[in-house]
Amino acid sequence: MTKIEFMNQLEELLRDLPSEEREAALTYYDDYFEDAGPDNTDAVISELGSPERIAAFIKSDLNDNSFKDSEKFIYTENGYKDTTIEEDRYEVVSNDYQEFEEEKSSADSESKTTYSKVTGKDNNNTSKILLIIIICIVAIPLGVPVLGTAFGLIVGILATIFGLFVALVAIAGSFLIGGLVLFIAGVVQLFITPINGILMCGAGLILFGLGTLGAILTMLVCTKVIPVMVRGIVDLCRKLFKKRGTTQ
Amino acid sequence: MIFNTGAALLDAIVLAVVSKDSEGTYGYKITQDVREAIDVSESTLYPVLRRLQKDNCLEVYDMEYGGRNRRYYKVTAKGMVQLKLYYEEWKSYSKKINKMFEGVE
Repeated sequence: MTKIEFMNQLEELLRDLPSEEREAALTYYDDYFEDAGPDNTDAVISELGSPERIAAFIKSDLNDNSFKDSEKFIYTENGYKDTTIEEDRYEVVSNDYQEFEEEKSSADSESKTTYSKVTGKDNNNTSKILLIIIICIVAIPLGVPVLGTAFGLIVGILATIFGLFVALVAIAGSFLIGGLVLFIAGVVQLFITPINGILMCGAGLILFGLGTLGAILTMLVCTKVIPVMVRGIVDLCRKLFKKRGTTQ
Repeated sequence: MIFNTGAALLDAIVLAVVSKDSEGTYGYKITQDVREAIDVSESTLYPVLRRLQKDNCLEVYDMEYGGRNRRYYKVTAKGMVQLKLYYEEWKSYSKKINKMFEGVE
């Protein structure tokens, strides 16, 4: 193939591009051949491949036009993240070539494979998101009452536990106070009716003892159980929020 | 070369190569220089140059040479900023990778 033939074919293949793009590309490659020198024309052509290949590269890059600078590179806490690499969309070097050389079919199907390679991944993601949305919508009529019941149950259980705890405190407190009062009353009685007095003292001491036990239990609950409960709730919340974060 | 050059690194190398000439340089020479560093096909570079031009990192002008017009590429101020950014990223990146290879013989 001569340079003229190459350039003519290239021009033909770029026909569907805006004239500015086409002119720029043709000028570039024309200059390129010139700078390489007439002796190198064959070498250049074999390196460039075919007009079809060049045209496909130019077109696929132009279709990536939606890649503005701000979208191409995200500044994360680990430095710039090149989204083009991450998404596997713009593998410029060897791989594309291999695929290209292997199948020397018509230019159109080649360009189409390049396009589908570029857009394939997108379709998967959108249909997944769509599916999730549909499931969410369908689940709402069922989900709301279920969630309500679960919530009510949880609140009920928590309230019961709290109530029991309050009762424990109250009992311990009243035993302590009651026991003390009874003991004092018993001491007074000792001077009037000793037998009654001893009985009251004894009962008072027993009550006081039980009250002390209750107080110790209360303190145990405060220092051990509550922190564990709080940690459990925090962990649960964190897990819920983490989950939300990743699906978004 | 076994490591793939991503789009960003390719942009960075091209900018670096063009920036070496304060007056700018032309396509064929850019390609030869880039290929000293990485084994990339000649047909890869035009889209890169075109994109850098559209992003205003490179500007073009035509100058006569040997009786014909030759198109030159030159780094813009924005291009220099971008190049510096790339260089900082590269230093940080290559440092981390070098660290990984420490001790391998």
